[in-house]
Amino acid sequence: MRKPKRLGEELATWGVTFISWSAIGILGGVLVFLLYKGVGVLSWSFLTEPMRDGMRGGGIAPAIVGSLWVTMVAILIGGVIGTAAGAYLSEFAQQPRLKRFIEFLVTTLAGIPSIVYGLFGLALFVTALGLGASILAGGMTLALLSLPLLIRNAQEAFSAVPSSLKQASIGLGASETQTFFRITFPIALPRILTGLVLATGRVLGETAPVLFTVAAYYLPTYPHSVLEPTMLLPYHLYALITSGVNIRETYPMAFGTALVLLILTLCFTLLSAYLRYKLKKRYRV
Amino acid sequence: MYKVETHSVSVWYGSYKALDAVSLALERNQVLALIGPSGCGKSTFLRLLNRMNDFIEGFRIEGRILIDGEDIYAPTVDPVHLRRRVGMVFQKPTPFPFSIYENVAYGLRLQNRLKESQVRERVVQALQQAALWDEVKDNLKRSALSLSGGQQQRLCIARALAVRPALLLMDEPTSALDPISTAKIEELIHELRNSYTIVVVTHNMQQAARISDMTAFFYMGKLVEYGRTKDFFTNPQHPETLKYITGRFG
Repeated sequence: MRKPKRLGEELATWGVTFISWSAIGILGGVLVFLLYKGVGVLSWSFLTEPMRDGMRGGGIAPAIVGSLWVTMVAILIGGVIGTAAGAYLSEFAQQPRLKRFIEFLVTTLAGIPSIVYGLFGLALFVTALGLGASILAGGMTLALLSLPLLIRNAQEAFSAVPSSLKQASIGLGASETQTFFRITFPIALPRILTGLVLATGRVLGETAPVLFTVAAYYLPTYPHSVLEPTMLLPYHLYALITSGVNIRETYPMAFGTALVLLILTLCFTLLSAYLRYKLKKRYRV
Repeated sequence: MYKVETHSVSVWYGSYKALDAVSLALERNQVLALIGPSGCGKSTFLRLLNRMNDFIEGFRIEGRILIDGEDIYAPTVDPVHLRRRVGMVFQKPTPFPFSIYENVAYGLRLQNRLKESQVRERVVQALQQAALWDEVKDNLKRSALSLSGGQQQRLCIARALAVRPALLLMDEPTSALDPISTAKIEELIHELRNSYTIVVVTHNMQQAARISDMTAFFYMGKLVEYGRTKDFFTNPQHPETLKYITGRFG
């Protein structure tokens, strides 16, 4: 005979299972929906050709190239600063109060709406530093945006290196600097890279911070330097949907663009998961 | 000249006095065992000898410690250089997640003066001294993490020996190992005495009796008794020592 308690447990199990599957269902739904709407316009030429006829024809290649450029600049700059800051917080900060204060600031930074970063980037990089709307200005703005994530990730990566290894290195006559570069950093590196790849996926899809700092509405050419503006996937998508020359005509292309963006983002997320898996196997420390 | 000499060494961590006026002298090619209950100061004493306590907040020392006649707490001494001459093996094996070869070569590469052929020579020699060579010689590129716990500890000993230290410190080197690995390490300590001076902390009095020439008994920060191991266990001079070695406390 069944006791009511067990029925309750069973219901709870079902409920939890249902909720978990519905999360997967939502992701699957978005994918299927985008595939259904967007796969029609996907073709080799869509991926490799520039836009034509005021967005009504051609492909989205300049936006793909532009997005990759801006993301690369953002991750390079953010990666260096974030890793350095994470190393400082984890390894070198001596005063606990100062450390906690910086950590608090980093957390606060993470809560700032992304459009505010965009405005800040406009004021500082585009105007004050005179970079103009450019890949460099946009990349730096996105680097700022991703810093909280990158700092926290690097800090955790460094802290995860067992202190027994650092001590062993010191005990063998390594200075603290040598210990950092020969033990702590190499062991933390896979985790740091994982975080960088994850951040890449996030940065790729950001729209608000690039609006005033780099994104071009219609510029069907490829950038020659980081001081030029460029088209970007998220902003191109926005333009196709809201402000194209003929929205009905460009509507399917918007879904194609969204699909490309989603697939690129997913690729980076999967790459990050793969790296994490590999590193777990390699460093059983 | 003694290998190690301490002259009324006292240590504080903040206001807590961890060691109180410890004086002893150890001759070359001897094994010194430090015994005593937890918190008695034996590990603090061990870590004085390669200045690993320097990192602890509030650490302060009085008195003098001489290794090969040199005051290691003199202001002119660089603790990093000191640690290259005083090797250390920790309680738990601490292999780096590199290859066996790179683990042993680690200390050598820090100084950057040796050719690769010389590094190789020293690595092989250190592995032989640590009685690990026969088990790993076929594949030095293997990850050190794939070794067993006992092998890892011998690897750590090889790593410490590769830089040819003047003095070798061991902090309970067998407490994380099984009896067979423990026996191997003890045998190894016995062998190493021919070329090294060794200071070893142990919780295990039988081990102290088996491996050491000299024994120092610490209790509540004081060096209660210090003498030849064979006298120490057969004819202890202090009542506390007798109580401890007969298992009445600790």
